[in-house]
Amino acid sequence: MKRTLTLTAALALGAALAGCTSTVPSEQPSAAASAASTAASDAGSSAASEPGLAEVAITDPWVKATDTEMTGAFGTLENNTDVPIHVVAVSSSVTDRNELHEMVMQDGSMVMVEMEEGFVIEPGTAFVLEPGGNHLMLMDLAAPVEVGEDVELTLEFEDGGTFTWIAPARTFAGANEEYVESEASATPTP
Amino acid sequence: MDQPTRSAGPAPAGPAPAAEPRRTDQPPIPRGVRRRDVLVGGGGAALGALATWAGLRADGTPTDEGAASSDTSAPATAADYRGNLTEPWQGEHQAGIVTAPQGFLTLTAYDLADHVDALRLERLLRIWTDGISRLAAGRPGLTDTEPELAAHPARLTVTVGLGPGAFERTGLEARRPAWLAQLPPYSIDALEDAWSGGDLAVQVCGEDPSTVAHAARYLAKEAADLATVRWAQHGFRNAAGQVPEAMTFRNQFGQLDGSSNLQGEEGEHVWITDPDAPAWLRGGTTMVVRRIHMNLDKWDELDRPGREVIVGRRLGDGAPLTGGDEFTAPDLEAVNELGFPAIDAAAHIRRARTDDPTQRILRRPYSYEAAPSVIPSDTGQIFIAFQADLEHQFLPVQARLAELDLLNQWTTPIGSAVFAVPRGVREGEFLAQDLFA
Repeated sequence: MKRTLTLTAALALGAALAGCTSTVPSEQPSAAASAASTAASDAGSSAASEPGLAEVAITDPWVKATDTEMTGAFGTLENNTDVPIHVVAVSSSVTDRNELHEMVMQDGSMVMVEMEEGFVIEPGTAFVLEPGGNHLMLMDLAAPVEVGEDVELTLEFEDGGTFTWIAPARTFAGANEEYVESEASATPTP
Repeated sequence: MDQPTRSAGPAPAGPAPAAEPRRTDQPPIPRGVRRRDVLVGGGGAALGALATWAGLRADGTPTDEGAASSDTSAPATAADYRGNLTEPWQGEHQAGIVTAPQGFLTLTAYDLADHVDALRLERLLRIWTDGISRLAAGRPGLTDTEPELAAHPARLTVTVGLGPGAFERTGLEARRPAWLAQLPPYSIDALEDAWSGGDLAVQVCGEDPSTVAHAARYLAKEAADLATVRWAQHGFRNAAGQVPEAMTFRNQFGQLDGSSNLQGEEGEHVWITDPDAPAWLRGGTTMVVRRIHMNLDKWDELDRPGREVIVGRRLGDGAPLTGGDEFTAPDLEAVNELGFPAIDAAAHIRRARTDDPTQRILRRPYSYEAAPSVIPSDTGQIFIAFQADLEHQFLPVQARLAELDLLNQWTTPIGSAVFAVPRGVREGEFLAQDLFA
């Protein structure tokens, strides 16, 4: 089953891309650092190409606060190893239904598509998760995600390794991509 | 010893009776250098000629023009580019208090939403701390949708205060400092709800109004689920580099304003050091905000001599009517040729005096001009005062000025609020965190 997200406004995409901050290092004392070291040991097959760098890290993680049943998680993932890292699944502390979503060109417009095969973070590069772009989709939320609340997220890699981090929920007016399932039912995402 | 000029109003203030030799015998610029040195905590070595604070980076080192921009597209090599200047946001105290006043202000008061309890208030303060840490460094906020607007911090500072409601409405009433309440009513007041009170205050100051506007709005957006804007006040002083650094601020009456107040150099009168004070307040201060309408149209009816009598100073150089210069102490005993006091019994300079140096306050005022009115004027001052002890330093002189001050005929307080300003944060801390321990 393939699900598709269509951007309500193409403008939103442009703005989001222009705001890409993948090269800006975070000074946040976020959970990323400690989580990254966990990932390093779990990721097994990969090896850090530079000493002192976590093998997988995320900077500026956050989740959109919502009182609806869906939300997105964002941040900039970094692969500091010299091998590709294949992300195959995501899980979260707020729901059992979590998906990896990417943005692709389809019939002349950008749409959000579930990445059924996951995605690969190439060695030494960053993978940006942002509103209007690739993101982690959290669905069927049983309770609101309140602003300031911490959400735990875990990526699972093809080799069985995992990477867990904490993302704080923030008030955010954007990230309203229309969620269009191939079966046709359409609901706005938070 | 300095005699403070205290004012509830657009204190003409000036200078007061201060008779500091170092001020009187030196030209303005050197004096400013000394002041800024203290204010930014920078090394004296970094201070040169006209550079003073504007030539300092956050770490107190001289600016290396062309290096520190956070936006590579910025004209960082231009000799006059100063948008990359930052003020330190971490430390014993919050920024924006003894920081040399920047040109522009957006001061926002918030009402907490009904569902905000102590946990949610804590979350909001965590979020704001994170936002401040980024914006003050010239980085976009975490969820910033206009990240480019954060790229030129231009000495951005953000100062957060807690009003009485932050305690009363969140179950923290037992931890509210006893002094944290609205000011007592004064006969001169014509307070409007629209400009008074507030559970939280966020003072954003900077040298660039575009950056200030973005920062203030970003912080408001991040708070939107937890707090609504009660009032917001925009203020201005001289833009950076447009007047000599050391020049005393002139209010819209044309008066030199506040040069005898603390300028940050006497921290013991600004910072709360009482060992009995709660941890979140030690290193913090008390903040009074008054919106004071200045009736420019009525002021226009006064000729220059009359204006000078009201304050007791010459408008041009701020010297007392009894002679000297801006920093000469007035001779309050002097009489004129008719035998009347040379400085009127109700002149502001006389009424604002206190002989108790421990009653000096730190004033950090901004002018406002509310759009779209020009004539008649909707102009005044956002009076902002910081002092360690509200009851000892602020209330007595405010009461005396309210009782009698010629200037009161042209000024009207239309807004009033009091906030507790938590201490500064160190790496990994968030504002007021001891309050939630």
